[in-house]
Amino acid sequence: MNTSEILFRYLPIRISKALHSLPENLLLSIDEIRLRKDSPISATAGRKNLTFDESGRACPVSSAMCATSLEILECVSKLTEGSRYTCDEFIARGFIPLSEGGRAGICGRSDGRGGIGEIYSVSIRLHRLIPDAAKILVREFAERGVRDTLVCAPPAMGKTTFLRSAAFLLSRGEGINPMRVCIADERCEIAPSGTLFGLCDILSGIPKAEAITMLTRTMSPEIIICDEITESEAEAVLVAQSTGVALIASAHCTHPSELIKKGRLGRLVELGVFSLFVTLGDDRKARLPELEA
Amino acid sequence: MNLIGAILISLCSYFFGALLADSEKEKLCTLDALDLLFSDMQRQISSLRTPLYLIFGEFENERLEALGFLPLLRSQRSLQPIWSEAVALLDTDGDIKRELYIFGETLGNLPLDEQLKRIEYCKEIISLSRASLKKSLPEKQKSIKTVCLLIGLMTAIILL
Repeated sequence: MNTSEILFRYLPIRISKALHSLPENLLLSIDEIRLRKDSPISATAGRKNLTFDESGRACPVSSAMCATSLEILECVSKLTEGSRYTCDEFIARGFIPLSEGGRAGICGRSDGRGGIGEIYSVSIRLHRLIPDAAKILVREFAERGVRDTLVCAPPAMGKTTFLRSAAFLLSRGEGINPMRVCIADERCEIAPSGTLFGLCDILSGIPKAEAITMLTRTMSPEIIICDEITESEAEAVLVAQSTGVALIASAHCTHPSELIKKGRLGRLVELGVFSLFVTLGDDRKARLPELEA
Repeated sequence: MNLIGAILISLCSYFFGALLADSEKEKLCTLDALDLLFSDMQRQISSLRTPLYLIFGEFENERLEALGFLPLLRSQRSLQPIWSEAVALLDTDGDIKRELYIFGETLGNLPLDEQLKRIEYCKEIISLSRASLKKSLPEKQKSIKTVCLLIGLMTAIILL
């Protein structure tokens, strides 16, 4: 199933028809589509946001096609297979995992009990497995040994794709000896189907700090992979590191030096937890920059 | 000859009445089946959070199968468009159908606790209707049969 087929599966017919009229190369490069109640529908391809009218022609935001509240409801119904209650915990955390991989982020009004009542926006984000995306990292590990690694990139630059590829290559031993890789997949994005076909164990839907601790204690991993790490996971990361487990994580930033300047992930960077950094540029190519002292 | 005709008319009316009385009994069977279905939904959703398409896919009931209710619900995963069509196939009273239509408007689009409350509410309505029909059924069946027989006899007398 290609990305556009996945999108069509979840979108109401009127929106699918408009999307279907977009040029094919553009349609295939769409990473995300966003439906907003009574507001413009937008698609994101790379870093570009695109709005379109009912006939699928690119147009300014002011004349863009809008989604109705019924269409939002229909989309959520399709995302939850007609049973919203099966996704209550995920919805309370702002997303619905897609069975094909990826997630639908949601926004709406709080129900006053920690969940979301009426849903105003749905953002369907698709993920792909690009097996070679993390080849540069695996080569580095093969030559100089496995190290704690931080993948730095702005949003939608392919951090999760990189982590998925790293898990795939390392756990299957592509260019390196196969390793026991565990994934702390809080938002069910790295390995949504629950397998990457290698020596890979996946803990999905559990907060990262908790998942890292559980994996360290129970699965004796050689590498733990987790997405979008923050200061709140510092304790769990330090515990994992003290047991000799290597961590590959990602963070929102354009360069690792930015993290130090802004004091984000302060303790982890200060303590030198990460000794290898990967950056992803606009071209989505991975680079291994040296961190300036 | 006239006498035989009169007896035939009376007998036909009586059997017609018996058929009508049986259809009342079938209404009760439908309500029994709906009660079982809603109990199953309640149990499966509250304890296992089973998706609706699986609940309807696995639920077995001859009455709801025969009416075409379950086969229609199994025909697609998204229930919104077909729930009303499926309810229209039921042979229940208007009040129950109205409640079921309203129930279908939000079926599958609610968080767990609200969904369970709606199921509980609908189940109660079905139970009440079922209890009242069960109570009045023998009386109702008897009067339908009697009225039909009387109509038959009167027709026979007039024709004679």
